[in-house]
Amino acid sequence: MDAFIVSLGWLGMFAPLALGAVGSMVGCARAGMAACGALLDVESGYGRYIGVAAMPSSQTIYGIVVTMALRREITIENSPGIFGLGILTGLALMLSAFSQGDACASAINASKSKLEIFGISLAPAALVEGFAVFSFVFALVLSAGIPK
Amino acid sequence: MTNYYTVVASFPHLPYFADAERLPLSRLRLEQRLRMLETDQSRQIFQAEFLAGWRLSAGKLCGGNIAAQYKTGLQRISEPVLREFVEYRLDIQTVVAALRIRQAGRDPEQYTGGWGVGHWVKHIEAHWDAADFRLGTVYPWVNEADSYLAAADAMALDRLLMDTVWRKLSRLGDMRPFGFEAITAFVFKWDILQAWLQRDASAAKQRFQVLIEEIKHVQ
Repeated sequence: MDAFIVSLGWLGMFAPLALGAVGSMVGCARAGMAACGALLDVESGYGRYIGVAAMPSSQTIYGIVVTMALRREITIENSPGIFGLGILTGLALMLSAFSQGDACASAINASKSKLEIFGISLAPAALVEGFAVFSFVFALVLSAGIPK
Repeated sequence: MTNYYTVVASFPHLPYFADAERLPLSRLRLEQRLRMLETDQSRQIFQAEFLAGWRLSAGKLCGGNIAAQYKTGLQRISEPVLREFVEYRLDIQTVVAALRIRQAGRDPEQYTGGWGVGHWVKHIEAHWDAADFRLGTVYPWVNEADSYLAAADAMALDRLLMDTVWRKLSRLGDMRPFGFEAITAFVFKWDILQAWLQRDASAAKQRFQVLIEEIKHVQ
């Protein structure tokens, strides 16, 4: 039983990075596919669309930072805390990257025909990013309370 | 549920058909982009276009029983979104056919092999004498279409039907902005836009002459 609890601790420690990376892969792929489609329809400004497609990569960076903040000697006492914090943060980062990929794909699709809305069309993607930042910041704050 | 980010994002914005001055995408380019789909999916789209495209497939179908040929064609379409749209278009055609037959003072039963397709045929026959065939709640445009037919205003009728289908396609495309719904909506909106822009009085006159010659030849 002790070994199981300790393994949950390890799982929780790596979850923010792993789930964040999964989310970024899917999110960047969705937005990237939309960007490739848009390249077929526009004559210029290609870099702008590829740049937008990279937005969901930030969740992996947040995941790396949270994993580093949770990094400590795993014990029976701190494993449940690390598991809960790590898994939930990882899930939040993953789902936000999925959604941000969709939001970026829509922004690319909308702004390719109407360049003047390029900035405002990114607002939904920025909002999604905001929620990822919330989970990231509070994961850092709460990780300080987990015993070393 | 698959999403088609690349294909949908490669389509240009289509303006409302009545406001458009030119096609934003040629037929060749449209077909190139549809080929990014799986082979069977693009085949089904072309099949659906053949059955439910604006410029009418009845001329391409031959033989006495066009209704049966439509049914056979529909069996080759397995994508639920496409099937639903083709059935919707055929229902519209059936209602318009019923309006035409009634205005001509004919009896629908005199058409061997059936005069329409779809699940409204029996309903329309049962309510033949009602002004809107009791379909007013499902198809609010029936009375207006009837009045255009009575006034022999083909252009207004065409525009009314195009607008009705265009709105339906807009709703369909909004359901899943990167799904197969969006692709179906784009293809058939493009088809309506092309049909609207191709309207040409002199070409229509020529076509009319050809049809008259064909009728003379048959007689």
